Amino acid sequence: MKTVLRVAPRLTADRGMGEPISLGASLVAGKKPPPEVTLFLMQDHQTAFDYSDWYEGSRDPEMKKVVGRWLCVLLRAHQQIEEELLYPAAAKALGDDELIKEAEREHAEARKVLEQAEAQLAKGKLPDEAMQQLRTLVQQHVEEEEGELFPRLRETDLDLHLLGAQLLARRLELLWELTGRSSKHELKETGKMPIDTEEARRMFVAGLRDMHATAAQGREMIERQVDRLEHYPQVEARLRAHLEAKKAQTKVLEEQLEELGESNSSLKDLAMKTAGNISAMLSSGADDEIHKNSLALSGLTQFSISSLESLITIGTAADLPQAVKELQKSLAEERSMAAWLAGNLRGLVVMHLQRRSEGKPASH
Amino acid sequence: MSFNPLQERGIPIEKQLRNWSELNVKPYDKNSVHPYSRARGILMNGIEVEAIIFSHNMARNLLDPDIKKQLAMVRRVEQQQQKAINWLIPGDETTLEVTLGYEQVAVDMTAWAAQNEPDPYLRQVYEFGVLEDFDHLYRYANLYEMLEGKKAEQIISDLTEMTPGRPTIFEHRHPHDEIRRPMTALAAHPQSILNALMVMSAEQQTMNYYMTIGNRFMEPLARATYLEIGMIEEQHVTHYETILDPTVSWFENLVFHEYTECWLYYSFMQEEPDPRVKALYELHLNMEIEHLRIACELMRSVEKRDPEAILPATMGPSMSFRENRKWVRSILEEQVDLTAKDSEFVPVADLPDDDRYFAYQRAVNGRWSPTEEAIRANAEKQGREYRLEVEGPNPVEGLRPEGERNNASTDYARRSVVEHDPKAAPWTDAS
Ligand SMILES: [Fe+2]
Ligand SMILES: [Fe+2]
Ligand SMILES: [Fe+2]
Ligand SMILES: [Fe+2]
Ligand SMILES: [Fe+2]
Ligand SMILES: [Fe+2]
Repeated sequence: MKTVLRVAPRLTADRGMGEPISLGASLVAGKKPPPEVTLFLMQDHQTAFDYSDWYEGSRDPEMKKVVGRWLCVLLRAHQQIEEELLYPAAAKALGDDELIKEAEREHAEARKVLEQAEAQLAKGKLPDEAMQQLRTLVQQHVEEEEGELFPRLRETDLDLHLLGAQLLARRLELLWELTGRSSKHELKETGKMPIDTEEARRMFVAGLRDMHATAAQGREMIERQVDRLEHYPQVEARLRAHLEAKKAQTKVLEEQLEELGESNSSLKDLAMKTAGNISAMLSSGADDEIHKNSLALSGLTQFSISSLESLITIGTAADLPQAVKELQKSLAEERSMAAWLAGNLRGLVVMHLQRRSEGKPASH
Repeated sequence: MSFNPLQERGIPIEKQLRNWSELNVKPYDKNSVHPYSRARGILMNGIEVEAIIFSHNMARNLLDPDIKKQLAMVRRVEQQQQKAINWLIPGDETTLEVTLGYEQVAVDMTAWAAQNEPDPYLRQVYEFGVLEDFDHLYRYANLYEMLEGKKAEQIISDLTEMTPGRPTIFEHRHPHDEIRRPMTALAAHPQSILNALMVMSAEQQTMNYYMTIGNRFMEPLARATYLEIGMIEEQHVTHYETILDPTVSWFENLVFHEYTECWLYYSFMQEEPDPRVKALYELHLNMEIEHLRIACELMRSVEKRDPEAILPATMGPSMSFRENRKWVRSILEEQVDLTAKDSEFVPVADLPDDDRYFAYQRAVNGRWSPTEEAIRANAEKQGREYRLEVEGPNPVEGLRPEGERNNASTDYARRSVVEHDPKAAPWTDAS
């Protein structure tokens, strides 16, 4: 049976040079540090109580309606992110289905009252009684969460910051939806993907292996060039820097594959085989070696970028946000290399031609 | 009449540059300027500085060179606006006189924000803060009389009273107790966002000002007073910036910044009596309308989101500087003895003896407090301290001058773990 799953925030909001724009993408790429999930939820609880006080204390009926609607939105978003993301993770980590079932039952009870309040607000009425009932229900529930569930969660080895990122991104998206602000060209950061996680994982592993081969190829290509370069010191410096990045990339890929249960030896074989192809791509000894090799490297870099982009999408669908985060880093490195090549190719060709015209050694 | 900057046409960005002569506006006359005219200028300078610093920070976090160019263009204009506004201040206004203006802004601006803040928690945040800047004003007024021999009412008039608020010596709190709860922009009143950006910007400007000019004095007590109050402004910036929604994106934030600028120039354009300054505000408003358009365009193209969805359909009430004497008194009476605990406000009397508040108090106050000494030294010199109490004696008995207190004291004084000993001044040993 295919499972429909919720994935970590999607990385759809990239633009131009690859900076994650949206909150979800920023969180997953590690550009915005996420909050620890229980602290964030406790803050959200307090906000709900504040709004409830605000509702009760406000005398202007119009303002009351507005605040009432906001409170409903906040509570709905809060319940939903807990049910979709926190509770399943908690049930698994704690091995305590009963505690979670009880929490869900309380949510359902509160939701009934919430719906009453919403219905009355929609009719332009003030749901004073429903709001009071809601307050009592939420208060009891919050005491259990903050008093029992959260302390127990902190004892587990769940990554509470990662969960924080997922809940926060989802909450923001829900707030846009629930306040009727979503537009037709709205970006979905999370949302349901009708994809089987296991299928995505298999494809991800295969993709990682290919990526490893590509990275090994790139590394080999640079290693062979960099020691031969004599007359192009800037190129040499940039390649040395990228070589370091490549080494780190291959290492990370190997670690990821190992974590996913892939053996290292098969990787090495594959890497060897592909590295053999490099000789065909490189032009050692040609009198415009530097020129041809730059073109080859440029092609391989573009190939790496596309591979990484697709792999990130697959990894996201496979619900492997940590792996995706590492790939984002590699992607940034490859994009920066591509940008450097694009920006320096013209100067390089001119310099090469100039040396040739002056009769100086120019090939590498 | 409702105003919606999204529906107005501004000045095209490439036509917004001014030459040096146009920027070098004629300063106001410090003897005849209306105190609230000065206040509006100070606030707008704070707003422009925030626009610039925010834009720089955003640029540092973006990779796209084209967006950086657009930001740089608008930022260049913000810089010009800042120059035109801040150069209204005449060179013969002394550092202390400008300081009095800053604290008057803090009091009457925050008072306006509190009274126009729909969200009760945020209203509490402003009410809590206003009492502290109110006290700064009184401390600086005494320093001013002592050093320059003049009365602060000649600068700020009697629109704002000068009498103790929450005493500065007790305002020093542990950094962890300065973190407030952030608002949720998508479920908040639009006015709440504008208020928060306005007050945060003004406090940031005050913080920066004291950081820079606090050392421009020869007089050791003045140097000490500025550094002590400067540390409170650091607390204030933390206090106000943490109410902002940290989940908004760079582009949403940019849109909010430009909208705030539109709102304030629109407000002050209506309120400003000096026709020359009024025209400057109107010009700047027309520039900001274009800035807002550019920011909205960026948000639309980069984030694929409608800025209209996060902005109000019509602008809320116009910001206005007006007299708040009675209001400040009522807040002082109710809340003088409040302190902050995490993100909540609690009576200082409720704190346990081993609370981090008291440890922090001991660490920074030692046995000698500049802001206490400023009052004591001026009283010694003049035979009485300087106060301007238009509405009668201080509403809190414990804050009245010694001898008029009927033995009353604040909870702060009762719980105090520090003492001010004039003989413990840092320069007494050295001399
Ligand atoms: Fe909860
Ligand atoms: Fe819950
Ligand atoms: Fe501006
Ligand atoms: Fe102040
Ligand atoms: Fe302040
Ligand atoms: Fe602007």
